[in-house]
Amino acid sequence: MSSNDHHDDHEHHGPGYWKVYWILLVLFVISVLGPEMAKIMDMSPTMAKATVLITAFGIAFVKAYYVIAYFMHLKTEIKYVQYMLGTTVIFMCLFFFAVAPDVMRHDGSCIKRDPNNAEICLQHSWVNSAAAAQVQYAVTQQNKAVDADENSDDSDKISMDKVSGVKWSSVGLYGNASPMSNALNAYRSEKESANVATKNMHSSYWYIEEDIASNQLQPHPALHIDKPDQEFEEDGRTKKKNKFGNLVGHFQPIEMAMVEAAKHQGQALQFAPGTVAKDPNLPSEEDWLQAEKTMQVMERQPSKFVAFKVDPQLAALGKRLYDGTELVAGKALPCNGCHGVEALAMNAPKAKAPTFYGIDGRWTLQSKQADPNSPKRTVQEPMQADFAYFSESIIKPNAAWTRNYPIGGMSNVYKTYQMNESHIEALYHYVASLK
Amino acid sequence: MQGKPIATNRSSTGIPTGKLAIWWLLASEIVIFGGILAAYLMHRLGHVEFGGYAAHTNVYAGALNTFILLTSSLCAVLAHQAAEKGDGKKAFKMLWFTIAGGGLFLLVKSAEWTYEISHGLTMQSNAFWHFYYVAAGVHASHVIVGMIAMAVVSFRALKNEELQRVELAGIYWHFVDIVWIFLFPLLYIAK
Repeated sequence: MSSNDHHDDHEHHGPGYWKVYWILLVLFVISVLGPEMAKIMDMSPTMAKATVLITAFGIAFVKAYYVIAYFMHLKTEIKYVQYMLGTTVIFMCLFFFAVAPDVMRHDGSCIKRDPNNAEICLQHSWVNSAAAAQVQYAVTQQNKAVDADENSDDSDKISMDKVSGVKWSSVGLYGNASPMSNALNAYRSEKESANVATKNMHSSYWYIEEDIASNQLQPHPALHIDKPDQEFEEDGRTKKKNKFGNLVGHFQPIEMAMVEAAKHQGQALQFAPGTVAKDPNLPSEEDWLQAEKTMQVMERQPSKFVAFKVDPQLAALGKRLYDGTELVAGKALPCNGCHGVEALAMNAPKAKAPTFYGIDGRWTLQSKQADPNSPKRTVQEPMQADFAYFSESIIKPNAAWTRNYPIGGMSNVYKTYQMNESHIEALYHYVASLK
Repeated sequence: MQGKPIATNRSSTGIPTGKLAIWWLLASEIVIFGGILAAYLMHRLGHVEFGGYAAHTNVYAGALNTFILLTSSLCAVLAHQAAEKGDGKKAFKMLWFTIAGGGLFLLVKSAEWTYEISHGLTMQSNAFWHFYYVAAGVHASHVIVGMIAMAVVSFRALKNEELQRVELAGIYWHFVDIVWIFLFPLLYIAK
């Protein structure tokens, strides 16, 4: 067959060019709208994933087919051109499947198992710790992103690593029963019992801020105090930020109050502004890292965890409790002021506390008081969050804290809001449904 | 006057040599883009955090560019159709519509990159952004090459000469379009 015959040939096959173009446009619209619909319709993650895979990637192949077959005329091209191109595609797949196991996995097969529990792997044939560390670091950063994206001015963005977190609570820094925290806790409970929590002030920290504003509480002169650099509205409250990007109402006043408390107790404070005092009673960074390594191994083992059985009616009640539309003893619970319900990175604006999304069965690292008679805290074995854990976190908010979040950041809502077990149960039916 | 290049009409392989050359070129391109895409895919599947980074790409800009390239592909194939009918003038016009599509594509791309780079999202930010700039950058350089090739072909076509080249430039352009068809969901949609 001459090349001319060949050309004439394909003019009579398949749809016309315009028709192919319209088909391509329709496919294009589906590939853009499909993933958007998944977002708008609030699909479950599995459904959303399937929708994106089918509409975005599946359709990409269909689009490519139409272009290759009818615009490039490969369908009617001489056969060996198809074989030639097919071979290179096969080489591409070969490359993918030969290299993917090394790149996609961050450890090799298990070569040594725990004699007591065969599901726990003690040693892998190889470990790509750099990649695993990178994932861990990036996910933590994405979770932490705090208000940086939306509220902070890039020009004076300072690394939050040194200033975030721990200053929230005297308990975390000084142990539950230290004179310092006793003084501050007494101050707080006095305030809390004297004031009825309102929508605008649902945690003790706000009272302290108020008191500083009204000069009832004097900051220590040695302490460098940042004037609020910016004010902004969030969750119906006016909040202030200092130049570090910290929420003034949350961090600085606590620090000041502690200085005050220290003065009453005749103690000197050990920390400089912008840094966190090292407390020998707190677990060290090495302790956390060690536990984290164990957790990374455990996360990859088959789990015996049984997912919580969600009752839709109780979950709906839990959602109303979380939203604050269902009142508890006449008051709206403050949960959504700090805890988001979105997945990981999307949680940024509410990263003051762990997200409730995917909490049931989520691996977590906690620090707890090892011995009730000693203020010494240790990092607990990694665990999967369940109802008991959730319940304890509400009833005894300071019993344990999750890494990367402020110690004692959770106020005693159980007592303050006169909650009972049924509220906790409903809340858990709701949060366990978030996955 | 020079003699006709031998690639024009010799077809001992059952296919014009020029066309065969284009297919070979594309076969090598599949290996180039295939390597980049396969490597990206592995990292995307092995690193959950890529999803979070991809959320910062501009889906609308990506979608607009997909639309532009699909349309320019139609122009390229219409140029080929005109060339087959011996209508060099129309082929010239259609080739320049295609080139305009390429220009528009690059315009959107540069606006997008300007925004991203000025917001601190550069090649050095992390592996995701590295892949993003390398994959889209290599692709954009192919768009530029395709535009130049078509401009060169178009002026001969206007004089009704070497009309068979119109199809060859078109085939290359469709390939560039196909690469983008896959880059778009990979870089912009999967979050």
